[in-house]
Amino acid sequence: MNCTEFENVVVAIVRDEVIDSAEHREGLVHADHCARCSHRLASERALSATVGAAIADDAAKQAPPHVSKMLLEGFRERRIAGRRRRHSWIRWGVTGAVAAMLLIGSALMLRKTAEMPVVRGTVPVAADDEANGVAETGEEVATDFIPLSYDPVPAGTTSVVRVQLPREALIAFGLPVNEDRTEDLVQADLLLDENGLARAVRFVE
Amino acid sequence: MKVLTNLADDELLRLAGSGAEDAFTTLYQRRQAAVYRFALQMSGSPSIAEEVTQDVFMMLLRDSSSYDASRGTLASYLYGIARRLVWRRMAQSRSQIPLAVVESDEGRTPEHLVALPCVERDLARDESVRALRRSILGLPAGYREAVVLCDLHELSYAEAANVLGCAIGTVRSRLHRARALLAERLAARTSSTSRCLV
Repeated sequence: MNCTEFENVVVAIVRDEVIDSAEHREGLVHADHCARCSHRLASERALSATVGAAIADDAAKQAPPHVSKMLLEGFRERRIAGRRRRHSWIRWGVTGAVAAMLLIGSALMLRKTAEMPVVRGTVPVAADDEANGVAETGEEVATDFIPLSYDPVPAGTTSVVRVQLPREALIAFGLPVNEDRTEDLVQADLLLDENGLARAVRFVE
Repeated sequence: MKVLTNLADDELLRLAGSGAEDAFTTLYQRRQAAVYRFALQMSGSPSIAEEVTQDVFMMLLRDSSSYDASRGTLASYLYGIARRLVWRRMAQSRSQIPLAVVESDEGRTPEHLVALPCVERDLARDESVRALRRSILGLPAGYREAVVLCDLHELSYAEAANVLGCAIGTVRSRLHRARALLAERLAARTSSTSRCLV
C-alpha cells in the first residue's frame, strides 16, 4: 500500500468502518513504516478521541424547558382552533341541510299544486245555473271537483250551482292563496245531490 | 405515557396529528435533543438552536402529512428541516463565525493555556473540544454538515445522504476532506501548544 492508498482508507480505519480486513491490515503496516502516514493516522485518532469527548459533553444538552412549554401551548391552540373549525363546519352543515329540506319541501308542494287536475274549457252548466245567470260562455279555468264528504257522490241526480266564496276558502282545500287577496271573492261550482246537499266543489277563474 | 414510549415515531406522529397531546409530548421528548444539538453544533448559537428546535416541531405540527415514511426515518426528516432552518437563521442573524475568527481563536489558545499555572488533563480535553467546535464552525457548509451528522450524531453515510439529499459517495468524500482539515488544525494547535509549554 502506498501513501495515496493509505489516505483513501485512513478515515475508514479510524472510524472502524467496514472495510476489507486485508486492506485494514495493510494500512496499519504502511503507517508503521511511513512517518508521514503514521502522523496522519495519529492525528485522525486524536480527532476521533476529541469527537468522542464532544459527543459525551453534548449528551446532556437539550432544548430549554420553555421551548417545550411554547410548543405545547401551540399544540393546544391548534387543537382548539381545529375543534372550532369542526364545529363551524357542523353548524354550516346543519344549516345547509335544513335549507335544502325547506327547498325540497317547497318544490314538492309546488309540484303537487301544479299536478292538481285542471279542467280547461267550457264549464258544463245545468239548467238551474242558466236560470241563475251564472253560467256564461267563454273560456274558464277550473279545478277538478273536490269531494266535500267521504260518501260517494250519487250518480245521475246532481246539479251544479255557481257561487262566490271568499278567496280564503281555498286554504281549507290546501290551495295557495295570496295573503293580500284573502278578502277577494272567488267563483266556485258546487255539486249538489238530489237532496240539495253540496257534495263537491271546484274553483273557477 | 408508558405505552406511548413503546410506539414508533410514525405512530406517535399520527396520534399527535389527531390531537393526542401526550403523543406529541412523547415524540418531542424523544427527538428534541438531537434536533437542538444539531442546530447548536451547526450554528454555535444557543438562541438559534432554540428557535430552530421550536420551528422544526411547529412545522411538524402544522403539516405532519408532509412526512413520508417511505422516504426515510422521522429523525432524518427532522434533521432535514432543522438543516434548512439553521442556514436560514444564520443568514438572517449573520451570527455565523467566520473562518478568520476561528483561526485567530486557535492562535490565541496557546497563550491562554500558558497563562494557566498547571495544564491539567481535563482542561486540555475541554480546550480540545472547544477547539474542535470552533474548527467545525469554520468548515465550509457541506463539510460541516457531514462532520456534524456522521461524527457528532453518528449517522450512517446513507442516513446522512438522505438528510442532505445527496449521494452516499458525496457524504463520504465530504467527511473525509472535513476530517483531514480538522485533524490538521487540531494537530497544528496541539504542536503549537506543546511548543509554548516547553
